Amino acid sequence: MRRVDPGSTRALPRGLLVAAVLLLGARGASALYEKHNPSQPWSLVAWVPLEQAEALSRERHLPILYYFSADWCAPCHIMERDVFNNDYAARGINARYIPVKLKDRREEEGVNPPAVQALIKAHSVSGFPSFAVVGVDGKRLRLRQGYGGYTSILQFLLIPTPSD
Amino acid sequence: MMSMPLYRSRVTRSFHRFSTLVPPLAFVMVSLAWSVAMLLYTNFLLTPEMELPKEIFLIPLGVGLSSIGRDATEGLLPVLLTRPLRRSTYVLSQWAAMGTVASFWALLHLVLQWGLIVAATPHGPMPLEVLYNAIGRVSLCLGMAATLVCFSTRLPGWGHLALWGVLFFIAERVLPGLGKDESARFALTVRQYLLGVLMPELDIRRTFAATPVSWLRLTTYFSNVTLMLLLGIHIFNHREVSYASR
Repeated sequence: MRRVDPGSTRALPRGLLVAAVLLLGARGASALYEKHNPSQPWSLVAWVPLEQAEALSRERHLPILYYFSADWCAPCHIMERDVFNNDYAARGINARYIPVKLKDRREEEGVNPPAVQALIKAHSVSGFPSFAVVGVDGKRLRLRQGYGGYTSILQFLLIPTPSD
Repeated sequence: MMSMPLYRSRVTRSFHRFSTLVPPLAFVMVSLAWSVAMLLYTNFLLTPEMELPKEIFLIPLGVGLSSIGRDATEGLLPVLLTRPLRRSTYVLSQWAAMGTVASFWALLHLVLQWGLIVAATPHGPMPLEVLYNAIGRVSLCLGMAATLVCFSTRLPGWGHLALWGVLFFIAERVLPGLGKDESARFALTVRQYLLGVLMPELDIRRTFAATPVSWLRLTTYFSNVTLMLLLGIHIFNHREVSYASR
């Protein structure tokens, strides 16, 4: 191949070439690293601490969405991957609710924090995942237990689904 | 590496040309008009939402109507290349200009949407969410500009848009269907890589805000952009341009 004079108009920019090679190398190295240390995305759903939920609900005139789960609950993990890690669904939740995530710790620690246990009892939560939607006035609007699929959850959350 | 006069002239030309001014402007206006119409039709029940960065991919495509292929078709290339201008400088200036103009329209659309949401609802999206969305949009515009410029170094007229469209169709419609078959699962991996080239985007939530920071996403984005630019420069370097060729 004819050697191109680096001063000619057809020379490849060396800086860009070096950058491309280095980035390819870094890409391979980071792929290997993440295989053993997978990265967890920052939650797409803007979860609010329990103690701030009611005040925010009144301030923003949005109902509270209580999401009850447990670490040992496999359907919860599937749902979190399918729904909460989905851009569209997360955006819909953030726009329509004050989302609060509550974890049942009875299996691991024997008891739940009093505030969490009170909510579990108030909404008669007997399985996970469960959702309770509470209006600004404090009255429960809807309750759901179980996953049932991405579309089903979106319909419960009153987020338009692709089929709508 | 980049020529400022060429960059400025390309940016200015994008706003003076009908074919590159109207499509992104139309997208912004139609999108906002639709949101306003839905708002009024549903009596303020269906409040607008900020579009995700990948949902504004039509903006870079609209801006990409003016590209290297277009310069070739109009006979501008032989004139430009008689100057002591490196071909790589020309390609990089085209990329920077296309990315800048597309980012301008994408950010204008974001600001107008944000304003509409704040006006229509008692609260607006969180400023951090808007910032993440803005960064995502700019990264998408610059990424898609690199891909479109690469395609346009060889294809005449609007051929680069046609090629982009065909590849996008394959990625969104053909490969997912193939990937359903157990023996062709590799199709889903191919789809992932293809979309990473056609619509490169930096998702801040999944990159910097992740735990730990996702260096893979970061390096993949920059690697894809630099590779497309290098490939475009390489193709353009080997392209013969004369008054007799298109």
